[in-house]
Amino acid sequence: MKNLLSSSFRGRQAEKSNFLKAGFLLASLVEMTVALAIVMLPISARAEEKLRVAATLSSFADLVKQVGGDRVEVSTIAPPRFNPHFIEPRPSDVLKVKKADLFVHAGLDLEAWRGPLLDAAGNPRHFPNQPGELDLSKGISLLEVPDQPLSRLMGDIHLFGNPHYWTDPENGRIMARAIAAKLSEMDPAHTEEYRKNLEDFLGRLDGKIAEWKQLCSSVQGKEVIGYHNEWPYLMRFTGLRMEQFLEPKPGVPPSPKHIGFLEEHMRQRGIRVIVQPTYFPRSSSDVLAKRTGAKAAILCQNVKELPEASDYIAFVDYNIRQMVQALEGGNG
Amino acid sequence: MRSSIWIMVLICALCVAAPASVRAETSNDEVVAELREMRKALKQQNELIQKQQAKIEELERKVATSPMAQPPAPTGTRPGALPGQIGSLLPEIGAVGDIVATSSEDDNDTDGNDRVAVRHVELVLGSNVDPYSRFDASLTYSDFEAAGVEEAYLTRWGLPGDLTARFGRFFPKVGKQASIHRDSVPTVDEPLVIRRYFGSEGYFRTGADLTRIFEGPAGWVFQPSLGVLEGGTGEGGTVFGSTRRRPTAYSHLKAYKDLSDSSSFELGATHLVGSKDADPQFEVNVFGVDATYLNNLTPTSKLLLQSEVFAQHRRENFTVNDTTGEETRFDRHPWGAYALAEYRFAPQWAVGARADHVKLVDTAGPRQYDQGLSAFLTFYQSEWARWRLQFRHEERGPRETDDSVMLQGTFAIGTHKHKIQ
Repeated sequence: MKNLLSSSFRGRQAEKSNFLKAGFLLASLVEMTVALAIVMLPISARAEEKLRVAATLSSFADLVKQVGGDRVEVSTIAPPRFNPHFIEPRPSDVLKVKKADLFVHAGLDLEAWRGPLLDAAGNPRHFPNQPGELDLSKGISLLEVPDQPLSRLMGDIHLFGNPHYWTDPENGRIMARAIAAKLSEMDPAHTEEYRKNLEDFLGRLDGKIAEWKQLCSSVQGKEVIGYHNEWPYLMRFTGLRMEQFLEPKPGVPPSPKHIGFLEEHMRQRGIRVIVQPTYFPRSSSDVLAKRTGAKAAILCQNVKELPEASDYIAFVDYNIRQMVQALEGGNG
Repeated sequence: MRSSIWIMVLICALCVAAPASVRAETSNDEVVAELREMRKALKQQNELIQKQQAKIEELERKVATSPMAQPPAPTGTRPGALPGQIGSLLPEIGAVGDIVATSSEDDNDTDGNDRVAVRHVELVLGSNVDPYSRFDASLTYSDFEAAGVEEAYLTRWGLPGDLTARFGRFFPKVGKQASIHRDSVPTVDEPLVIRRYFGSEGYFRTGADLTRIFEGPAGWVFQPSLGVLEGGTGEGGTVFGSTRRRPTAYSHLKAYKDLSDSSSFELGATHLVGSKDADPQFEVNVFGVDATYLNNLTPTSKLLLQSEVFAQHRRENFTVNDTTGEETRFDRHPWGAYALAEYRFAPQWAVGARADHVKLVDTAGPRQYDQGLSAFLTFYQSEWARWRLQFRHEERGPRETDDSVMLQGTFAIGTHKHKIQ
């Protein structure tokens, strides 16, 4: 009886599921075939002879474009309006890096996502110290290099020094030269073109540096408040001081207690400007500005973060003018 | 005589003195002339220096603008440049603690009900082995089971055809949430379909797989994967039997598209074929589809919508216990799904909900399905510490229900990197 019932049950089930079974098998077969076919597809040939460069930041991508001109095809990993510390690379970014001849990055520990990105792309030419990578921190005189044992009690500390070095246009010179040297090494046939582009860029940058120095002369020595400790290089260039931040410790969001401390600090020192990056929430700096009557200077960390920062020189120009205007307005 | 001598000396002295004063006047003119000469020479020197300075600057500029110019020597300690380069050879080491407090209606004294439990402590190690490969391992410790190896695998890059291979124990690319570490799951618990079919901690098996990523038409990115794994499932999983001898084959195709610089859509298809046990007639096919929409609305807020469906085709109806004669029936086409939404509305806060439904494999009793609804609130204390509160309502068949409240703390120390999904 049991077997009869079982057989009957099995028969009905088998009948009902024939269509489903066929569907599943077909779907599985198709999926397996497609997967197999695409895994085995040959690598597509390069359509162009341009050097393909993947840069982690839009600022680096712009410098590569300035120096490489028409000889390079540049892509950026981190969208400029996002905090470069906390990017979640996407499959399309993996593909950019995989396809690139050259991978340009900030080095140090700015891009915590760089390691997983390189692992996912799996192109050994882009690993540290390999021919297809360019670490732009090499050659930079780093600031805030730790001189004491580090701990996360200190917050999101940088192990090798502050990595936001590209905000100083003097470092722009060093980076542009390093890019020119690398492009020439990888594409020696166009060395003269890269040298000419570099000369042209440095000529324009040097002219602006003199102008910026002149512009900053009226505000030198003044103190401003930051949100995150990402401006020491720009402070050095402008002669400004930034000793306190809305973040009580790097990476730790502002607290009411700390805002109270900053309010007192600003009153005591007569600080009139708060430097606010575009990608951090404005609520804390708005509260502090309201309490102290200070102005917020909205600065960019990277090229194309705002429309005004259309290229590297425009990006530095925007930051410096924003700060000087806020300081002069704030003191006026 | 003596006085005349003195007079003579005096006269001589006067004679000497007188021309001296005359000479002094002469000498002043000479000094002035000499000074003029010197000034002229100085001016010439200055001009020369200026010319030389200009020449130096020109040469410096030529050198500096030469593409072959090397940047100056770096300053500061660089990654991997610790004294003696010891740091370069040490693997990345990190640990993740996952502690969960649960208050539940469930009478069972298992799974951390009505207690605070160390659900998971994960020790993570990883490093490049050589220029071609990398080794990663995750060792897990828990209140609920013995210490184990969750992952231990070698990744080999640069194979012919741009393929990447993995060999060892790893999370195969089966759907989305079955293939990620617990600390990356957006809820305290895994979706019911994952827990019931693949196991309570997701699906990780020992085997080998091949993956390739390439660009398709219209900006789509495709990533197919193929692999062969040991049989069986994770803890509590029912999709395959417990025997590991008959391998499971899996394939996955991910299709991904950027909709903008901040939003994306991903569609995945998974197929697994394995066995319930060693008997080859008990074959199980699993077909899955997953879809994920992610939008980073602002630099500090994002929206995640995700859903997965898994359906099985099982070559069996029932089993009969040889001793007792007891019969256990099986649904030949069980399926399960979940839908999840998570909204990170502030840098430190996220809220979300999940709906689950799964038809059970073992349908001998009245309990044919499980389903549930969950709501959760996440507080990101910092980059390395997170708190999550979840309310879960589960219906286990038509009669049994369980309402639970869970508080989860997840903490990471050392190096902790998430693989790109």
